[in-house]
Amino acid sequence: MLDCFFNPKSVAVIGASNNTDKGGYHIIKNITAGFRGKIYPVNKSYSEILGLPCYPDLASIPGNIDLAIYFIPAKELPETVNECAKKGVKGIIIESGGFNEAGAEGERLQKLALENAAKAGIRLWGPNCMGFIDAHRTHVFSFIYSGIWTDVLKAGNVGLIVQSGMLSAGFLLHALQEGIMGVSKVCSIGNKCDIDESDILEYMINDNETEVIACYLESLVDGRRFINLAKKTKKPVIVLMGGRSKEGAKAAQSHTASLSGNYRVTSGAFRQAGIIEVFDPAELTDMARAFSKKMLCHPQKGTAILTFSGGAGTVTTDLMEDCGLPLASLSDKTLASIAELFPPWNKPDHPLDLWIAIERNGYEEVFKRSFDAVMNDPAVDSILFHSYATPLIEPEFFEELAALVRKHEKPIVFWVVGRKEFCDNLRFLAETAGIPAYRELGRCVTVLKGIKRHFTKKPIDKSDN
Amino acid sequence: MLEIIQRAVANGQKTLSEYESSLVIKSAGVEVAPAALARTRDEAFQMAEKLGYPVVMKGCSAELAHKTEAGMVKLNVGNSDEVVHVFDELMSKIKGLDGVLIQKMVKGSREFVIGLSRDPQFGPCVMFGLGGIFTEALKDVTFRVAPLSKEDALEMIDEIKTKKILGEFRGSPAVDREALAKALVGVGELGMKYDSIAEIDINPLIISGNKPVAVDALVVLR
Repeated sequence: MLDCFFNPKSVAVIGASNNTDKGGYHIIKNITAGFRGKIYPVNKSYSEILGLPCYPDLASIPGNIDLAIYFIPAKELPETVNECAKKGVKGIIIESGGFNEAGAEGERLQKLALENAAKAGIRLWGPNCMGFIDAHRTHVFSFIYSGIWTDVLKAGNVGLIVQSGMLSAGFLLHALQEGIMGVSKVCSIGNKCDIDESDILEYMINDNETEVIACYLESLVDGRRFINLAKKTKKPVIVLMGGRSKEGAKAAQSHTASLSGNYRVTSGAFRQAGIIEVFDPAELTDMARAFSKKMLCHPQKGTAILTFSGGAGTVTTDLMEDCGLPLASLSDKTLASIAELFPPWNKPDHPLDLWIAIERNGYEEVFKRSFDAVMNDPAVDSILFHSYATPLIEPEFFEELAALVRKHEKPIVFWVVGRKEFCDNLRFLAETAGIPAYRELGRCVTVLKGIKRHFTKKPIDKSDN
Repeated sequence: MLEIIQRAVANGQKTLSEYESSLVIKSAGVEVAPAALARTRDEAFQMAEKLGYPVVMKGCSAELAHKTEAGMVKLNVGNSDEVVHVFDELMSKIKGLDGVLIQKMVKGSREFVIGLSRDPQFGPCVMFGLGGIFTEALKDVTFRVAPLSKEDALEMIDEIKTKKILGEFRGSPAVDREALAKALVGVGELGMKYDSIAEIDINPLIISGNKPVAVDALVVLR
């Protein structure tokens, strides 16, 4: 149903520009970078933009158009919708602001445009948004500055639905640079006068390229529809809800004209539907990145902590208890097998502080054997792994760990601390192998909680595989 | 149940009386304190004798929203003489009462609330939380969208911060979670089934022994 946006054959850009400082230039620049269909810049002031013939108006374009991108002042929209109707346009992405978020006149324009579009059967996306990016097709239908995405955009399995322009851009850049995570589609939906979060959610649920769905929302147009969609899909749905507080709700209203509902009801509805709720943008990307690794979990048991530091193990245990994650009761067999790595005068206890063993037997030997022991312990459903930064670890080490994660269906979340370049390298190796890695202990615990919560509400069904 | 609600709507009532409200929630599987509506002094006496003392006596009418504030609730009525006396007092205080509700006095130190509301985004929603004097201060409540599965209800019960008092607590047994879940599911079903119900407020729901028992309920109509 949203194919006119995601798979158009031709795109007109109303408000295209030759001026490299203008968003109208970057829209054309972005589209030409990856879109293989017909591109029609529209602007009276130019005859050509980036080598493409520029048309003074829609009527002058030869043939029909599937999709129009609107980037001129708000007051022209209602009439432009009618002109689009004459050219067979099926969808319009309105990236300009000045509508419901801007007072009475803006509201009038948005309403009128919507009425005109409904008459012509045209779907409207936005207004007051940054359009979308489809990383698999390199469709960048957005005024996002063209210099910042080309070198970092990576196709992957995370779909983003974001009710904020800059946040979607910032979120995207953060997500793409922070660890190994690729995106399928990044959709900025703005005021969502027609296309709303549930429409995109439904599309992403049915989209084979999207396996994880992460959202920043300031309101729900139809809460019941949204949670019913989320409940039915096995794909993880992660939501950061803006406007939880009284003052935050006011901010959301001036930002995207959103009327936040009763947050406590929303939050309960999310839990009911198995939606993972997060509370800041970095947590949203971190959670999405963890799920993008597709680690499986059977979450009825406890978590094993493998660390090199008694302190880190203690703090992690505290953080786990804060959020209700149980520490695994390791079996005597597991402890006995790890004890073989210890000197006779010291015995391992849980959390497993392995430092003494590492001093005697070396990092890889100790962690490999310890992982093997806890992975085979039926009391363990997941593992938090702490490491100090070291340049001596080979990629194979993390590949073996990732293989254990897949074999036992027990996720590992990785924390590393120490000298920055070594940390970055270890995180890169872990992430590349498929193990999510973070700089904060608290984030590791939060992410693990999200994973366990997801598989509690949506257990692995063997028939899914 | 439909008749009670339909009749109230036809009469232009904004709420059901406590007695009518208790019949509605009882039909949905919520255990309510044993009670009967007495219209005469004689009925009051007989009902109290049958329920056993002490009893609670409340003036009953759909118009009567704040019974306690209006002095229309008498707790701990201990014998037949008192019953007769209180009956006369309540009936003469406010004209046009449906009668006096004679209710078995339910004892228990743990109080909760169950509510039904209609959210503009989600429709009928069920609330569960801590009741009693700290309800407002602690706001320890959680919501689910109706209809609720039994798992949803059990998850709600585990979600409140004061869930510890649902376990064995200061000599009282652990609460019958199945019964509590049944009540939550039932209240959600009322919201799905009857469009004319705007809100339900069951407060307090007292844990008597290990059973949750509603001792006051209000059904607000649309």
